[in-house]
Amino acid sequence: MIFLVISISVERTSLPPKMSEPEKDSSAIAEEQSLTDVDDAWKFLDKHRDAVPSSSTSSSSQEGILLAIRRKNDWRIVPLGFLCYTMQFMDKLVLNYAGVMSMRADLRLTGNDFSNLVTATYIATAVWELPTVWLLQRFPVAKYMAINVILWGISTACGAAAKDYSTMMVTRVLLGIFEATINPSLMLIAGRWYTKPEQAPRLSLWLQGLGVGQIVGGALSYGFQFVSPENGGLAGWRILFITLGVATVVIGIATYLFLPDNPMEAPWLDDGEKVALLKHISVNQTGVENKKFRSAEIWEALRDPQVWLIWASVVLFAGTGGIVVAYSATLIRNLGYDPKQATLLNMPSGLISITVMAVPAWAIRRGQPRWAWALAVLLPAYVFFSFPFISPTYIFLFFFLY
Amino acid sequence: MSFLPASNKPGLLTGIYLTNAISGPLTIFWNWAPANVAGATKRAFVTAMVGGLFAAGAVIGPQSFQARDAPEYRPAKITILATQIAGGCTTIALFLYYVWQNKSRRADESHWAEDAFMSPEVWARMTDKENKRFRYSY
Repeated sequence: MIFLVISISVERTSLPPKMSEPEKDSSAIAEEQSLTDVDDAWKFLDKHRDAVPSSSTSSSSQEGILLAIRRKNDWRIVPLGFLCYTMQFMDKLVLNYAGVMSMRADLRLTGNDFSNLVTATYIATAVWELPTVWLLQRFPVAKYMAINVILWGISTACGAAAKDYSTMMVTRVLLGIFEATINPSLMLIAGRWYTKPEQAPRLSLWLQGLGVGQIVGGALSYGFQFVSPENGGLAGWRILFITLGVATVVIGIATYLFLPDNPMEAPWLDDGEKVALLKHISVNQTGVENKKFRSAEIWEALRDPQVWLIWASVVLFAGTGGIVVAYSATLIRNLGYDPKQATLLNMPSGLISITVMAVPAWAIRRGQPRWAWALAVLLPAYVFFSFPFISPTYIFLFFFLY
Repeated sequence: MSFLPASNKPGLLTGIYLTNAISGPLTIFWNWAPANVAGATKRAFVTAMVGGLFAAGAVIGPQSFQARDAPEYRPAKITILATQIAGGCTTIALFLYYVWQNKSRRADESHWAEDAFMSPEVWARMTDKENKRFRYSY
């Protein structure tokens, strides 16, 4: 508590002078004051006090200008984020598809080898998140993400050259390490361009990459199952790894070239539009860019009840999500379908994911409560999984707990 | 539905498809976490850990499917139901926590409006706990 009070008072005293001192130019302020405790967005606003959007005329309303800015941002940010997230999932999933092709035999996988390969990627991601905390803060977030996308694309493509279990394992661990940044990066990027209600549909669209990845990956793997080594030289699953890896690298390069780190660096906005956008997102109070690492904030997070509740919920929901992703293709195959049919039949799973992601995001954008929607979308899963236990006692227990 | 006889393929398929509704709450948390955590380092930390827990959950979850439980996988289904209910409880707890936090902050000062955007305080390096004008969304 004392530490908190101290840190607040330190913040307050080290704040740069207010705007009511126009005789000082901002570079002079920067020299005499440490500006590291104020967001880079403020420094930009300070330098461009009189900037107005070039598109603004006497007839255009503030809302209209913001709408135009948002539309521009949407076209330049959202598709890239979406492609990166889709590839993140497809490059993980490629192993599952290769698993129903000839990969197990070609790499002489036995026992738990296959599931170990799946698990290794996730463990590498989970472990690598710790250094990622620091890296995300030190490096420009969009550039850092783009480089990681390129590197994990290379890792995926290298999977095609795997000769046995251990060489495949190396590529999958590297994949997991480079993929560690995608989830936090996208969350941070959204907060730099959009207000909180605006973030919901964009973030949801990015997560749609999971459903789309399932569908596209299923279709691709269905196609490559018809490729046999005799008529091409490479096994179908190897071509699948190369195809996805190369696509990922291309998307990563595009992200590096076209995704700026923050609104201040957006080449498609003029200074006035940048000011208007920063003003619009200032109500978030979550900042845009500040590269100074402050360890006190880690301790605060560790003692913050909301952080633990968020983490607990995420691990609980992600646990069940993992089961669905890992087992839906297998469960379908166990119903007696052949591998080709199973991959095709798994595609509607993606459609269901898309629906349950899109509807709550749309509702949150319109100001509806997040918590109520989280509970609402839980209902179908409750109903499905409680079916085996239908008896008066269970129903009572179910509704009591719900 | 997950209890239908093996001969009822359409029913079982529908059941498998429906379980994908699980992605719903996860998406909501994906935009809920960054909305309520302020401070550059705290945001990086909390979102990176969310990414790590996504991955950890994906590893832990499937462990509940043990080959000896085939073909019904009853323990796995019980585990899934239990984690879903627990997730529902933590969601409600989070909601109540935010309501309580916002209530205790209301007395302080009013929420920043867009007009205050040039005030350095709006852009000061503060976490959601340090910034008494921060309001949690739920």
